[in-house]
Amino acid sequence: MNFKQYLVSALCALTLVAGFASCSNDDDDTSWKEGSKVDMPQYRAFVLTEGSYGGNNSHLFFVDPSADTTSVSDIYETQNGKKVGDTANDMIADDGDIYIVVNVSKYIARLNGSGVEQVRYADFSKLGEPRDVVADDGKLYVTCYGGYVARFDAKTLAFEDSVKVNANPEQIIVYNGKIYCVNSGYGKGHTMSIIDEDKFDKAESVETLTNPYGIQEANGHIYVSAYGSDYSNPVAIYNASTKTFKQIGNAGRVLAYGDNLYMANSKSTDWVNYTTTLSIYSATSGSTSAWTLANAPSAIGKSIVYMIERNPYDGSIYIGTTDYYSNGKVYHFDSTGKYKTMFSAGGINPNSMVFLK
Amino acid sequence: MHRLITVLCVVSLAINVSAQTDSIAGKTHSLAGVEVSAHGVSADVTAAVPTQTLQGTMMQQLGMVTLSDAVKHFAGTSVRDYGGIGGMKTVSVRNLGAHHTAVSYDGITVSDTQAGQIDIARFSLDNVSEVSMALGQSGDQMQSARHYASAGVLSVETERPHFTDKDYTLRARVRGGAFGLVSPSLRYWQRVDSTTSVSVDGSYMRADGAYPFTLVNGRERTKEKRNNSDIYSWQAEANLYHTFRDSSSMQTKAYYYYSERGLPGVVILYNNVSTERLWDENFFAQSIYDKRISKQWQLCARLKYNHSWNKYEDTNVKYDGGKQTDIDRQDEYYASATIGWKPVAHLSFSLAEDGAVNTLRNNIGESPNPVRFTSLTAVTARYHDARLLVDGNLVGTFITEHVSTGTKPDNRRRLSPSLSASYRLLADVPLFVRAMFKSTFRVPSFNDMYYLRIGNVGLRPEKALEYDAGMTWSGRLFRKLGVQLTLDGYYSAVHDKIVAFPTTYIWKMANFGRVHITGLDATLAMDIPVVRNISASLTASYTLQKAIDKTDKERESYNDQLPYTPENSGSATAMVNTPWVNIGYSLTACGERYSMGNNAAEYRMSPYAEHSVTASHEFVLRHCRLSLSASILNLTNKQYEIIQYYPMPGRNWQMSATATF
Repeated sequence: MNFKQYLVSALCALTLVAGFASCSNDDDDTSWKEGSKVDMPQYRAFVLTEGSYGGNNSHLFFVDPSADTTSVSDIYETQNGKKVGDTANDMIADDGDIYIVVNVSKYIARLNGSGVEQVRYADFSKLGEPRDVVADDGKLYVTCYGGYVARFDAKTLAFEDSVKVNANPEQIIVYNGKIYCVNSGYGKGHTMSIIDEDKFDKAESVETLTNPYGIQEANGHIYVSAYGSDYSNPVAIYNASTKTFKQIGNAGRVLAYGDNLYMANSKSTDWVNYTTTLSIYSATSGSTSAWTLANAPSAIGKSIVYMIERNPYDGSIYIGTTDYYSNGKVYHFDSTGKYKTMFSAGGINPNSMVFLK
Repeated sequence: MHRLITVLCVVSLAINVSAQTDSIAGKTHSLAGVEVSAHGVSADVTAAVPTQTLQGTMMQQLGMVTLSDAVKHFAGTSVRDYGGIGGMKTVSVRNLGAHHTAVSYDGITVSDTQAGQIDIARFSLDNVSEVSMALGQSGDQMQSARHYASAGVLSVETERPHFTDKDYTLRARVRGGAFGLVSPSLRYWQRVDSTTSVSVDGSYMRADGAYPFTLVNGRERTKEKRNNSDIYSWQAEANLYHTFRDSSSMQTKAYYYYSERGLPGVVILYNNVSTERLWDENFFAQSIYDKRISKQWQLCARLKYNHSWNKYEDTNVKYDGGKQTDIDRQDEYYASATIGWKPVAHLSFSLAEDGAVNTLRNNIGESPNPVRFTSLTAVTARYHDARLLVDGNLVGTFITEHVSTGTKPDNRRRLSPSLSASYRLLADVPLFVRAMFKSTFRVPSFNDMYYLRIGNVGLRPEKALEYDAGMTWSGRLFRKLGVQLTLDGYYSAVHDKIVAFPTTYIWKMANFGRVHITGLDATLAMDIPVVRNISASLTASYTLQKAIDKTDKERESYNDQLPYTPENSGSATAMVNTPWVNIGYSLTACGERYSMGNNAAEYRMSPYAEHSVTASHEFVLRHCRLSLSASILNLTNKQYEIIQYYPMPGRNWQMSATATF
């Protein structure tokens, strides 16, 4: 494939700039781009889109975070000659690698830092479809819809062990030697499971919101997002000492960073037209205030927010929106919350971004 | 060939005669599809609404086995075919959506209030004498109010018993084909006396359905097989035909169907595990009573009870207990009466009243067990003289529902008018112009309103408007070449389209969408005399259609073509009849289209053409007639999909042997 077909010309210049500007020792290590069919700058980002169920239209697109330009076509397909598959649900970056979890296609894969697949694991018949992933200390922990958290070697993706949790576990985090996941129970669940990372033998179940799907942690604050019994999208903060949750607001998508939880709540009365409210919850003060984003396009307020990600290298915020049928949009704000630009996510339902340098 | 010419002559006469002796009903029956019915695809040139007909003999000769095989040949009609013998197949006329098309089986509509659309996959053509598709309603003024209430009607007429030298006929048939298809069937006709006859038939069908296909995944191409696509079914039907002393007649039917099948589902990259199973059971009993009360008055009454049951099961560790089982049971009680009145020559009226009670029960704890009471009233008027035919009707709908829990939807009242006309331009040439307007709507189905969490009881009906103007001609070229041509231009619009709409938390049914459809349908039928004892016929249909999303200017799909709607599509058939063998060839072709409302290059689907050839011959033996038929379907082994990631079978074969005693 011709590089020019896939990257805008600006990217070439940026590649050079990135080459000169690099100062890290890692820059000499080029293993991240081994097997790559296109050239790519050292500083890179990737956006994963779920697609629509049954459409085999999940996509991984390369993003140049310096210029907010994206590859013209799916970088996974360019690098590997095949498609991502159906309903890529989660993506993380760890130790220079990219991990994708493709729910309906039923596999997890480790890609190198340029999107070239290194290894995949696909035997989920007993565990159930993989849902979400977290990496820690050379291990991958994957929630599986049969009610398991499975542990894999992060490099070889060799399956090591699994722990039974409650039905239909969703998002997963590791914090302070413990693995936490929430269990949606196909709408009927209301628990969070806690597993000791070292022992990895059993799960403790803690009551949480009804139909939970999300869990995040920052600065020791653990937040759970749920659909709620009335689909009001409640968000709650966890009190580890009492093992209880306190509802702090309502949001469809959240981002935990520092002592704050950034929340986007997209609501509709007719299921057709949406209004999105942005707010910030402060875990230190316990108060909620408006999340003001300077010069934010008004379209965000009328869109469904599907993703909020933070670039750890420059503190930028990326808000992904969806209409569930056409390619999502990603709005880029700098670390001060000032709108920079918008680019296409390359596919339907953008759900994760990773940043590598 | 002679037969053809004779038929054409008779037809011309029939038109002239019927044009002069119009009556309320009956005669319009005889008009339908009359002109080229001798040799197949027939759009009635005299009808005020576009009507296309396929005769049983022609379908057999073309190797058509299922109803969907036949419907794919109608202009302006699309079949959503999910592939394979057990795969769902629904019919949409001019892209109004499958919910707007009624399917009529021997005069009474088939209903599925839960899904709102009819899966025609289970209808075989084994005993079918005629299949027709009418836009709006058929020309029969005595039809039920449900027929009048639909945007399009697909009618299936089964073969009535007919006897020659004996009082009975027994037919045994066995059909076999690729992918493990075996289907034996038996049919028995008995004449009880001069006024009464009965028919009984039964069939069994099984198939593995594991057909191969090529999966394209980026630059990779792999050979795969359809998985979990086996099916078996039993079907039985009994009919009683009786004519009373006062010449009134009654036809009573009992029908039973049972099947179990795997649902192979959409092809998922890297995951070919498919574990969904479906069991279906359907029983109905229906009766139609026809009476000519006087020269001016006529009555047609219908009764039907329908019971359907299905069980869906999926096995996956993600479910509680490793399995999800959904069981649904629907019942329908239906009564209908149409009274016709012809007070003066050329003018006739009818009043049709239908009442139906539909219930749904399932094993979901939160189900509201809905019960729907429907009243449909149709008032029609017809003017028909030697050259002009004008039909008008007005359908009034009243629907009320009862739910055991949750919100009860508002009662629904609505009037739907329709007007159509046909005019014979020249007295001695069957050249007609026609025009029609029809306003219909479809009521949200039980699934639309009550499906667990997804349903929305606040839904408004989905409205459809149809306009059509056309020209038809039937005649002869070069003295011997029988030709029939129809050309219709149309505009349709669907408002308040009911769609499953994704939301931040769950799919929800919503009224969302406005669609404008403009198009052109053309059909051609030709009978070509070759030499003595050898005749040939050709049919062709072509559809040009723009079906545009006009929902929201800010959406990317605004002005985009609807999913699975080719701008160009068509079909053709050719038949050659010789004393030694009859050859039938059929072609369906479909242009480029998109699998998503967002017409991005990624969702573009390639054009395809499917060719099939059938050879058949009938031997007359001492005690029976033996008919053998062999078909090669998808002759060019074209890999194609009608619905994306539901591959259709490649080249395959079917054979049948039929002995009639």
